[in-house]
Amino acid sequence: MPLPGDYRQMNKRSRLFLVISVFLILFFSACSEKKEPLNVLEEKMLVMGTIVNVSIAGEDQKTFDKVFHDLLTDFKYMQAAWNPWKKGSLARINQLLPMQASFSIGPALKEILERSTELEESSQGLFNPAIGKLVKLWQFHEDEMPEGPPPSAEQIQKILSAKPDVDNLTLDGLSLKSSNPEVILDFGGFAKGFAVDKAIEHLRSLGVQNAIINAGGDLRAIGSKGDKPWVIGIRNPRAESIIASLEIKGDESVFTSGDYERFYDYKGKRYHHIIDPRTGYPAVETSSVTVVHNIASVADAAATALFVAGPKKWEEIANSMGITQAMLIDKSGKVYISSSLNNRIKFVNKESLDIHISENIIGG
Amino acid sequence: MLLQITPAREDIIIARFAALAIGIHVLESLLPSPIPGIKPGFANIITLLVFMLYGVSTATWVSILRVVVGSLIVGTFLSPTFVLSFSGALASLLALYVLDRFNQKLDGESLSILSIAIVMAIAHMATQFLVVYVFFIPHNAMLDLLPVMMTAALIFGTINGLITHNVYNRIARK
Amino acid sequence: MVEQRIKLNRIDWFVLVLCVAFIISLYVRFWKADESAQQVEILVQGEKQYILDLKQDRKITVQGKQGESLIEIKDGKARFISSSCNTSFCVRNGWQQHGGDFVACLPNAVSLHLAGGSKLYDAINF
Repeated sequence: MPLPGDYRQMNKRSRLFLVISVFLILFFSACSEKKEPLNVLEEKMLVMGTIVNVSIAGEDQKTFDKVFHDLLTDFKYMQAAWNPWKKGSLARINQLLPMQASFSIGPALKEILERSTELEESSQGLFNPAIGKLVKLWQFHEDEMPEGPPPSAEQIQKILSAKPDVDNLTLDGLSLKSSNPEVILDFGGFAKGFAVDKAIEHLRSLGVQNAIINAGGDLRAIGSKGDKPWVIGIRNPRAESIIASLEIKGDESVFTSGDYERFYDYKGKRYHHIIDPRTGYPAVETSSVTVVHNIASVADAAATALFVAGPKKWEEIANSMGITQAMLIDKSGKVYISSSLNNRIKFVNKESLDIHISENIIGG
Repeated sequence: MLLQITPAREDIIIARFAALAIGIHVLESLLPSPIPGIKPGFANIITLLVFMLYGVSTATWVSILRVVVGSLIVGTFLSPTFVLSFSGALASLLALYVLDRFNQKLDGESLSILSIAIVMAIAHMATQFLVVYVFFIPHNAMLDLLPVMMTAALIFGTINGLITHNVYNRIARK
Repeated sequence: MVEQRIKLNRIDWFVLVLCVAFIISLYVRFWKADESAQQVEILVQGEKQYILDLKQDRKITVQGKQGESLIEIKDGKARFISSSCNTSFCVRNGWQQHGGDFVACLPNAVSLHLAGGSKLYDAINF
């Protein structure tokens, strides 16, 4: 039996054909760019008053464990540093502020203070980190759920009339001074977002490129699962079911503020934790707001601000904050959504929803 | 003084058949597969053919060369895909060895190449599944894929076995 | 097209039947498991205290930071029946069914996480 492939027995034409075929095959095999699915490892930690879920794709268990441990340390540190009242960096600042005299602060707190100032401006004051006294009055300043009763109108007016605002603070280098004794800093409206941003930065510095950090439902995702993008489910504010899903492109944060997260009922009325800085009372027209944006701290602050803005003003605030992808659900269940978000979101049961697509969001 | 390597006849056989198998393997890598890991594995026809013509050890050479060189060309050498291919190939060669010994003991009515092809395909796919399940994705959802993968192994094993039988007859005539 | 029809003898058939039977058994074994979650992990203060099979109905009392939380598993679902916290936010969330679902009693630091089954979403935003 002759040996297979004896090319000496081929004529010139066959040989040429063979050579060309080999080249073509090699060429085309280089073309197919197959993405491998990456293995996903997940673990949870209890920190910052919630469950933080870390998912990382494409790393081995050893790397994951180290990264997870680092993140846990980060979060614990941030939780202590930014608590407005319990012993820590921010608590110290809040003790000194009412004295209305200059004192020095640490560089880490400088950053979060500056970021929150920018966001207070762009949200036209609807996100206000200086109303810590008001938040404490409503008892939403601790991890534990409050019981009520709600504060009296007089108590609220006392703080409100002083108009506590980040503008009352002057920051010169690391020197801080307050001109308003009612100003107490509480970064609750965007602290989670800020913490998630820091955590993602840390992940990246360790070389991780595909991950989700989900802090009690608010998350930032980077990269993908390899061959498939990360898929996020958005839960219905009223029921336990998933209302919509979203595929992550690149590096995105998804933050939701809702009236069902922290609240108490007192004498038949519900009071939740998102206080309208203008009225001093919980914002009443909104049920939940979901914001999609690259930076988590911006998404977090925007979700808070848009919630306060309500169905009438949310578009204006979204524009001033540079938010293009957002969705607001009002008390009746009506869904207001920017067109850019509407184009990419997949509603689970679209027919059952009353959807109103916004025309007024710039870039949205 | 130039070092001269004169390949033995067996070396040439292995090289030529391996090249053939590699060519088929690379071509096949261009095909999309609905679930990663499910491929017809037509290059196995060469392995089976070589086994029928020259025996287990030659077939082993051809198979290993196909997996290693094939992965070098396609660009997946030492990647997870390669680990899967390699472990699958080892498992199917082991199955081949066992079945061959078994056949030798039987003397007379022995297993046809079709059965061998099917058992090899199942061994290959099962090992790949185990490697993925144990080392890569220990997820319950993976188990749902197992019956599908095994069915595919059965089908493609049958096809490969039949083709091998057909080709062998044609060659053996010459 | 096949030059000579392949001849299958008894031993061939034996092996083939064995293979087919094996594959069918796989379907029987694995495809009855449906898409809902298989297990529930109960975490206390962030540590995994229990991993329970959702197929086994039961009620379990978990000792948390503040007091006790009563958890029920029934029909492949899990929920908080009662908890030492005063708002019972966890109880209000009702039955959890799908892989990835979770509900927590934060004051008591007890949380339920459902795992297994087909995972539709990599993370849930709420």
